[in-house]
Amino acid sequence: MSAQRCPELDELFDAVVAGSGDALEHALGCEACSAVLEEHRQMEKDLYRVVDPLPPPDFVQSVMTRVAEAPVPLRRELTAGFGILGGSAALAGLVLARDPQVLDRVGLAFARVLVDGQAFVPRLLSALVTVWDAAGFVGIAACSTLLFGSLFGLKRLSGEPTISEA
Amino acid sequence: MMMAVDDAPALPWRDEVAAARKGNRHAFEALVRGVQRPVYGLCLRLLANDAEAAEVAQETFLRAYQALDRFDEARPFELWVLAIARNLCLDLLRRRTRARTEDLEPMKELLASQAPSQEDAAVAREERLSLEQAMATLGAEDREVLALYYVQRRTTKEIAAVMGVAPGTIMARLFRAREKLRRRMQQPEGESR
Repeated sequence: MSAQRCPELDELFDAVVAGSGDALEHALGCEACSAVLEEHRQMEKDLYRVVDPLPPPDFVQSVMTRVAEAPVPLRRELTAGFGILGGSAALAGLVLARDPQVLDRVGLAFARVLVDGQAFVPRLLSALVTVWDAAGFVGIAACSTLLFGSLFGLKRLSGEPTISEA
Repeated sequence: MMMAVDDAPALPWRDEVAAARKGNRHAFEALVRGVQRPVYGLCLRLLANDAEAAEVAQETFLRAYQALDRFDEARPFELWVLAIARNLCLDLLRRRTRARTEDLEPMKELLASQAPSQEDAAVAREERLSLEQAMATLGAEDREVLALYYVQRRTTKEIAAVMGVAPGTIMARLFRAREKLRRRMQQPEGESR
C-alpha cells in the first residue's frame, strides 16, 4: 500500500485517460487503487458482452404502417410537383430546340383551340342544359361523383404502393 | 472535432436515403431494418419499459421519415436516428411524474442478453444478467453512455454526436457511470442505492 493518500476517483480516472499523472503513479503502488482499476477492467469485459435486445417481431411492419398512414411531407410533394413541371418544361424546350417549326405549329394549334373553344363553350352550356333537363339534379350529381371518384382513384394510383402490396 | 463521424468512408445508407426521400417506402423500410435494433435497444435502456420503448422507437422512425429532407447524408444515418430516439426518450422521461422503480423488476428478464452464441456458460449469463440489473438502476444518462459505448460499440465521437456534447467529455462520463455501476454491483442483493 502506498503511503500517499489515495486520490479522488475522478482524478485517478483522468490520469488513466491521459495515460500518466501522479494519481496513476500512486495507483500502480497502491493495492486499493489497483483493485478499483482492476474491477473496472473486469466490468468493462462484462459490459462488452452485453448485447442489445431484439425489437418485437412486428416492429418493422408497425413502423411502416405508421409511415404509410402519415401524410406525405409538404416539402416532398412540392419537390415532386416542381420536378414534374421542370421536367416537362425541359422536354418542351428540347423539342423546340430540335425543330423550331414546332413553335409555328403549336401557335397554329393554339389559335385553332381558341377559335374552336369559342364555339365549344356555348355547345357545352347547351349540353349541360340538355342533361339537366333530361336527368336533373340526380344525373348531374352522379356524373360529378363519377368524375371526382375517377380523379381520386388516379391520385391514389399515382402514389407509392402500400405495405400490403410490397 | 467531428472528423471521424463526418469523414466516414462508407455511406451505405446514401442510396436508400435518396430513394426514401423521393417517397420510396421500400427503401425506407430497408433503412429501418438496418438500424432497428440499436434504436430499440437504446430506447429500452433509457425507458426501462418494453412497450414504451417500442412505441418511442416507432415514433422515432416516423419522425425520421418525415424529416428525411433535413438529414445531412454526409453523416451516418444511424447516429441521426439514434439522436432522434434519444431526444424522444428524454422527453418522455421528463414527462414521467411517478417513480418508475416498480418497472425495474420486469426489466431483469427483458434486458437479459440475447447473444446467440452457444458457448456462453450459464455462469457468464447470470453475471451479465446481474450486471444488466445493476445497469437498469442507474440514471438515464449513465445507462445511455454505457449502452452506446459497450453494448453498441460506438466511438466516443459517435456518442458525442448522438448526445450533442463534446467528445472529450465522454470518457469521463463513462468512468463515472462505470464507477456507479461498480458500487451498485457491490451492494447486497435487494438493496437499491
